[in-house]
Amino acid sequence: MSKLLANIEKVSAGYNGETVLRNISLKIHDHDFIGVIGPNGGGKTTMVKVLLGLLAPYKGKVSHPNGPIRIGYLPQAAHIDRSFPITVQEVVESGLQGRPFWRPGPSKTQKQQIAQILHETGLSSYAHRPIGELSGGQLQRTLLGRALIKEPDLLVLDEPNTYVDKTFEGELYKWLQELNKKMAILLVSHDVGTISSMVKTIACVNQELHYHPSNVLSAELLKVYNCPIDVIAHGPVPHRVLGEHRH
Amino acid sequence: MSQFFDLFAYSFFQNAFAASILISLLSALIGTYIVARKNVFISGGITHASFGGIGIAYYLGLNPFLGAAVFAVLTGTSIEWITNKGKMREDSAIAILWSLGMALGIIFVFLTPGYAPNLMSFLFGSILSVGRSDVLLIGGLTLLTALFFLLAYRPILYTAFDPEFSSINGIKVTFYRYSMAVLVALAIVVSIRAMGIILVLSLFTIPQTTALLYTHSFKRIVGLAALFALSGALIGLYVAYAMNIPSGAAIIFVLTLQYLLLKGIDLLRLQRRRNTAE
Repeated sequence: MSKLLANIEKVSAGYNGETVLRNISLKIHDHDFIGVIGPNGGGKTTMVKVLLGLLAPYKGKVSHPNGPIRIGYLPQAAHIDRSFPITVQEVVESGLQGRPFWRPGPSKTQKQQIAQILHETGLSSYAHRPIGELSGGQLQRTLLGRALIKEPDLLVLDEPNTYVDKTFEGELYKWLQELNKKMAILLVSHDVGTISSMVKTIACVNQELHYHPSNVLSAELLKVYNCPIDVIAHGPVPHRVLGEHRH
Repeated sequence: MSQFFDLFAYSFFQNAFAASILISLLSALIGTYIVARKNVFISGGITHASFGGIGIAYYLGLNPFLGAAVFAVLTGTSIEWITNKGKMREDSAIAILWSLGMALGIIFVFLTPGYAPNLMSFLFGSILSVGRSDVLLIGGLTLLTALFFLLAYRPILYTAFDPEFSSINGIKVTFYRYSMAVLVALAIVVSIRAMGIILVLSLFTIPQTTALLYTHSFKRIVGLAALFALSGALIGLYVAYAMNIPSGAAIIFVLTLQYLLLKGIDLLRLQRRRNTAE
């Protein structure tokens, strides 16, 4: 029996009195791999903020029925100030849970954890480099390392494939398949074609939320779900891509 | 040169020398935070708004720097609040507080009966007029700031870099951001006596910009900025003495010259490396 990690119940949320999400509900269990799709401005990031506790909902609640959970978060790359003077190691280390002020540095075990994560993300030789010197893919690996260092129960990724090259994107998706054996994943993307081949279920968010219990979705269903998605042009002809497909 | 060293026999010069060292250390810590968070404009707002406090304190017969401290802290925390809540455009709020503070300062200084204080001393400062009590005040704040950085370096760095992630990770973001807003405001106020409202911000930005030529690590920027600020302050003091010009302006001029010189050397080094690569 799978364990319920987070329960979003009848949540309405938004900013400055304006409602972006209306009465949405979603249950996240361990080992879930949910792809969150929807048009820009449809409320995907707002839902993530509510789930992470960064935004208080107008109505409804987010609960963790089986006790507190550890959440790892990979924000949109645009959210990160790349000119900030901070090194790769410091960014990864910042993912560790807060320590008491009288023991501010990482413990011996935590130091080993940092070294291990840097090794796994292939960033050992970049540990003392400032993030401004990294490529888009290296920065995403650093942020992923920060999200993974506390071994989360739930990993939330907000548009992880923007500003990265195709090589890193492929690498990231392989990683996520491996990580899903250990944790639940919520992957937000406007690119349904790329994610539908790897997620287990899909949540369409466009003010409302429609949960689809498989990764295969038809254009008709998207209409029913009121979830128009952007046309994807990764071949000669722009098209909507659903389920598995090959060029 | 020996005549310059003879000045160390005088207590006013001993105070100026001690204040230079302490302000260099304080500005290295606080300035690096300001530059890293791209808060230079905010700090400009705090600096100029504090003039309102100076004016009101003069009018009420209080210590002008107490008034400046109250205004600076209120401005710093208000801007932090506006930034967090997003209720208003941050740049507009800064501009309003900036000009409102200056306007209040001018009105209240004008309304003060009797002797009108010399506005130039607040606008441009004078490190040579720093007294023993000022040195103690600057020293106390430098010690407090250094202790706060020693104990909370990581949360300060993390909450400045990514407050959302820090909040998810259980760090008390509001506490650290507001504590730093108060320290920034107080650091600016205690440095106004030495550098003046118009010049003080340069001390919190030029050494850091010079340090950024060599490193992008927060800790190293603090160390290098302290070095550059100290050399700028001491050479500036000497230049002020030798040329008989205002000390604050001389220090800023030396700091800028120091930056331009090192930037030039850096550009030459890059050009040479490019030529070798070709």
